[in-house]
Amino acid sequence: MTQAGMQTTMLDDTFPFREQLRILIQTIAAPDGNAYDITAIAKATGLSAQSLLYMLDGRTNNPRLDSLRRICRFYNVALDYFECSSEEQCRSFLAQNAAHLASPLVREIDQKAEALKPPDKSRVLSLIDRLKVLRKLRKH
Amino acid sequence: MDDYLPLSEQVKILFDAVRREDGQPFTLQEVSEATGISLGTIGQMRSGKINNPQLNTLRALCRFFSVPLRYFETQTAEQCYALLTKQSPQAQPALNEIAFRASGLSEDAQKDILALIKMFKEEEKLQGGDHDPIDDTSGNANNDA
Repeated sequence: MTQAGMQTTMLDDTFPFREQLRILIQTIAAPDGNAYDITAIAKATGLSAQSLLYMLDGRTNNPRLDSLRRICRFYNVALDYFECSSEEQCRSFLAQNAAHLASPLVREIDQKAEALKPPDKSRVLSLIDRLKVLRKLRKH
Repeated sequence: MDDYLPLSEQVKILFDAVRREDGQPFTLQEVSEATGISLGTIGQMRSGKINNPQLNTLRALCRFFSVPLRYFETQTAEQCYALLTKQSPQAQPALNEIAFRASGLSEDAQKDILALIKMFKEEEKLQGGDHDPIDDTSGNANNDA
């Protein structure tokens, strides 16, 4: 996925920042089940909506420490997240992070779900998705 | 909210704690050459003139001094030294897909999910006679009940 003529950075083996940010926003949803929108993130972090948009479209590919700290604090992840070098790594980092933050109830779900048979696992997963859709509908 | 240890302190601790083989601190020049960060930038980070560097600079510095990026989230010198001495691996295993997705739901919904899982397990137990629970890569936790 390297583009010719791309500006060489000190570490070009790292996954693009905009991808890391996109995955973060997509994965960690607001309590209503939807991803936080830019306005909400801007308001909560104190960053401008435009800065966030520039980060997401790649115009800002090397953000500053203060912005990173604000984003991390908002999403409750460690700065280490921005060391992930693939989509898969990002996702497993976030799943691990969620485990650190998980409530006793979520831990119990984790434990019990582990022993389910695959077809039942997918039934539970699709129910979770439906619950999320339902909640979105109720919102509007 | 902004109770991070000043960047200059964090950088000074790096230079102080991570030494060359001969026991001497690395020079700015050496770090600059190895990381590609300009001499001026490193010097000014250490002296406090630059306190908001860019991600790539931080990554290069972390790599050179073998610390994770969260080093720059530390609030005390003790936390810095803790990260420098032990490479604390995140021992906790990740949540499985179901728990991960459920963690975004309300508590009530989570309770429903848990009840459903329990129900499925009961069902599995009832039909257990003709189905061997083999090949379940997630492991069979029947014995710990």
